[in-house]
Amino acid sequence: MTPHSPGTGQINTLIWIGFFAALLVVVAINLGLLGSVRRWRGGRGRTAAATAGKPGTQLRVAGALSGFALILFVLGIIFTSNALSTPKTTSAGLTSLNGKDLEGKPLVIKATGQQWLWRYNYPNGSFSYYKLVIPAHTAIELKLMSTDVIHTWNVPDLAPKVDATPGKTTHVLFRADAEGEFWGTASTLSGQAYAPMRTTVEVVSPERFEEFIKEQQKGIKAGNEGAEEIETEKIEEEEKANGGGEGGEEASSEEGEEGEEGEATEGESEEPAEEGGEGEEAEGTATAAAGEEIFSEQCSVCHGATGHGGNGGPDLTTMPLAQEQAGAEKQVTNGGGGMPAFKGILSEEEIASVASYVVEDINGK
Amino acid sequence: MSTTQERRPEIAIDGFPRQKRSFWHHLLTSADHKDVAKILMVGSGGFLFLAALELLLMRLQLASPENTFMRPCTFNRVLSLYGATSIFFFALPLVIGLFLYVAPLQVGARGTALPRLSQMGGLLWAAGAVVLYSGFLWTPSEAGVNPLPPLSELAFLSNNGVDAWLTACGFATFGFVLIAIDLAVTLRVDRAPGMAWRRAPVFAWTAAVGSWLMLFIGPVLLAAFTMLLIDRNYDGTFFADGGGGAPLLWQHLTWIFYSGAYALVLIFAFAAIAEIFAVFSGNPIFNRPVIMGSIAAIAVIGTLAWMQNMYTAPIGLGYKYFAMFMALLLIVPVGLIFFNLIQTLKGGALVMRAPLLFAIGALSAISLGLAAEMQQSLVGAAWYLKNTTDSTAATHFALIGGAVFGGFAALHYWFPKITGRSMGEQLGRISFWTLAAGSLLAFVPQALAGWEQDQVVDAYKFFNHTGVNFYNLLASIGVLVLFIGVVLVLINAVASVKSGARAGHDPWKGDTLEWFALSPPPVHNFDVQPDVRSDRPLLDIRDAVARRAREVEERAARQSQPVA
Repeated sequence: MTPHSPGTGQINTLIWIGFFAALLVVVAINLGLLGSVRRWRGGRGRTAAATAGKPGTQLRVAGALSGFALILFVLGIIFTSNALSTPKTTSAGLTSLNGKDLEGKPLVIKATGQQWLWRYNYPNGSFSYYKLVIPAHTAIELKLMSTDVIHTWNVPDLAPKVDATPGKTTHVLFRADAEGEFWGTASTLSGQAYAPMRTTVEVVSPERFEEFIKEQQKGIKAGNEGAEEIETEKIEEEEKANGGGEGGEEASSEEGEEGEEGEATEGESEEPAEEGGEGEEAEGTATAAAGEEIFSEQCSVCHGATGHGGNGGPDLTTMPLAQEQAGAEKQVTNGGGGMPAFKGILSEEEIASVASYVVEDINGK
Repeated sequence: MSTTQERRPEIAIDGFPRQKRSFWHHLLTSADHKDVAKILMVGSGGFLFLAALELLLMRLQLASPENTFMRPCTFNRVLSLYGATSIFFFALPLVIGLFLYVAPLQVGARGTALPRLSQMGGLLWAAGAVVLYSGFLWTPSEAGVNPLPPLSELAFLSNNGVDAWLTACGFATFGFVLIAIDLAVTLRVDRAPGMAWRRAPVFAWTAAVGSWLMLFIGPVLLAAFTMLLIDRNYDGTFFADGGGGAPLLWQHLTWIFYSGAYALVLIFAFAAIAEIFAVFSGNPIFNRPVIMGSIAAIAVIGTLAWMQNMYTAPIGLGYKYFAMFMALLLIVPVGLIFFNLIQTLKGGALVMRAPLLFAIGALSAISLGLAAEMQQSLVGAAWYLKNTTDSTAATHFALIGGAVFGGFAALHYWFPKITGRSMGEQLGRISFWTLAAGSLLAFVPQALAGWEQDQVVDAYKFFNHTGVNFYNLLASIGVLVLFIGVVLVLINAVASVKSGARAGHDPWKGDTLEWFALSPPPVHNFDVQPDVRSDRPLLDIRDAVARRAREVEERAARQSQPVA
């Protein structure tokens, strides 16, 4: 481990203290053991030894051991409480956000664990998956929650491990002093895709951080409108009034649902021209190619590089929803069944292209 | 009483022909503590093989980065099986089986006080083993070594695997509790005349401490298992967070058990090593009362340190400091035991036979494991080290030291008593060095991978370019060597049952009463219950016999002298 925060610096020191204490113990015991074996093997000793040694020996040994334990205990408490208390915002860090002064309080970010990724909610309502972006030199308080099983948030270079336990909110307090990207892993078994449930923390300058969450917010607004659209989809489906306006874009357009999806997309008032334009790229080869890139970035973590599953995500060739454009888009947008919702992370366009990649290239439809 | 009565042919017993029972009939109906213990020990040998095989399979998967040898769910199943097998079906039955076999003999008892309880316990344990491995019929659990809810709840693992896992381990634990009741009572009431606790062998004392420990921790685990089974099958909400349950409760309850079981394995090993060191050095155990007190202290303090497994869980910092205090407090009794055991060797005439070799190896491995555990009991250090392969390595060093090396030391030591034959010495040495090399090679690289690169536990794969490829390859090779070592010991044991060198009743010149009985002991253990005058009763008996022989000789010499 290479500590990049004051807290982990303390932890690292404590680990080394523990290591030298352990080394001392191991060396002393094994030297004593092997020494006596060498000295007394093969019947070189006298047979009648004292059974109790000098009086007081046991007390002295016990006293020495207690002292050793006490020193470790005190050091343990000192460095542990240091590790907890060191994160303080410095002048170089983020001091205000959205015009509001942080007043020396840590920047609160909500991290929600689910099988098998992390969602980070920033103070301005924006969020991101997998990657946490934080400002450097700023105390961060991560509020950990879990929607399903116990996940351990573990970015060793920056912060102590803390469990996200469902039904409880736990906290990690840390401050990153170096810009850069730091990786983290899950460290409590949480199911099939536990091993690839990784996260990264990107430490950026405070200015860049503010920019980032604004960008995210913009993207999410656009995404949310798409999502509302999809929520109303079911009702529209029941009505089945409008027929498949744009539905002809896919070869397998017979399905009513497909048509509905096309209709719904078209009905979106914000970007009608773009949507229409996408619809006109009928074969979708370009979108599928773009989708491949998105797939390898976002989906292959769980579904495997070829989409045949393996890292916890199911084999896409066996999933009924992945056989058709509308179903795939719906699943990617809203998530469910262990899969996160990608609305807000991917634009609607991107969702469409990744869905067409799944349907056309992976399933060969 | 009955021996002084005259023969009465009209009573059927005298002339009644003894019923010849088949092997299986005997196995299933015998309530003799030695037979029940044999079921446990033979079974645990088999499960050691399976556990080592499962570990080897997992290490094969982890030999190279991003390996696709096993699917993730297969890996998790093997992991869950490995956890149950190594704890509930290898380590604990070996420990409890040896306690049940040896401790009543050591205190000069003619049997156990509540034999049917032990029998029930042994059969329950066997039933658990059958349930665990027939779990293949309905897919094994995928919830890991300790199936933490909510992952082990129905919502996340909906097949019957977790139920089978819980039932199997629950049966086994229930069996251990029943045997513990029998042992605790036996060691309380059935000691030979004159055998006060201060004269009781360290191993028998530890059996009593361990039984009481099991009586406390076993029901705690059974309660947790029952709650989870209710959650899964009858819509309970003990651990489901939505309905007011608490996933944390499970962690508290199970870690109490696991910490206690860890302490149980350790005190078993310390006690067996103490007996072996004494016998093979010819010295009395150095400061017996201190060792006995320390063993009791480890049982209590080790269990009270359960929260040191929960440093990352949402419990108050004060609780974590309490756990750290308890864990560090263990330094005192453990250190005293190490000190006194090494002192026992001093000035002795060491007979370097396999039991002593294994005992020394066990102490060495335990020292490595416990020192690493000490490092991880520091709260801050654990925030980095817990749940990395460094903690895996620490636990494995301590438990392999205790259950495998310590267990094998005890096995080599008491094998002549159990079977009447000795285990092969040459193969014993070879297997010892194989095991020693294997465990170092398997777990030192894992410790380094965990410490340097934060490689996490239980993961079915690791990624390329994370700096752990070489470590993992080494660890996999190490586990292969370890596996070979285990197989060698098992081969040695199986072969020696039929063809080992015949051993008399006391091949090692032991100090304790089990060596007074025949090898193997008859159903009633002792024809004559010896009178105990010191803490080395058999030495007294040997001395008395020698003195008697000398006197007879002298008298004969005197009588043959011509009268002057």
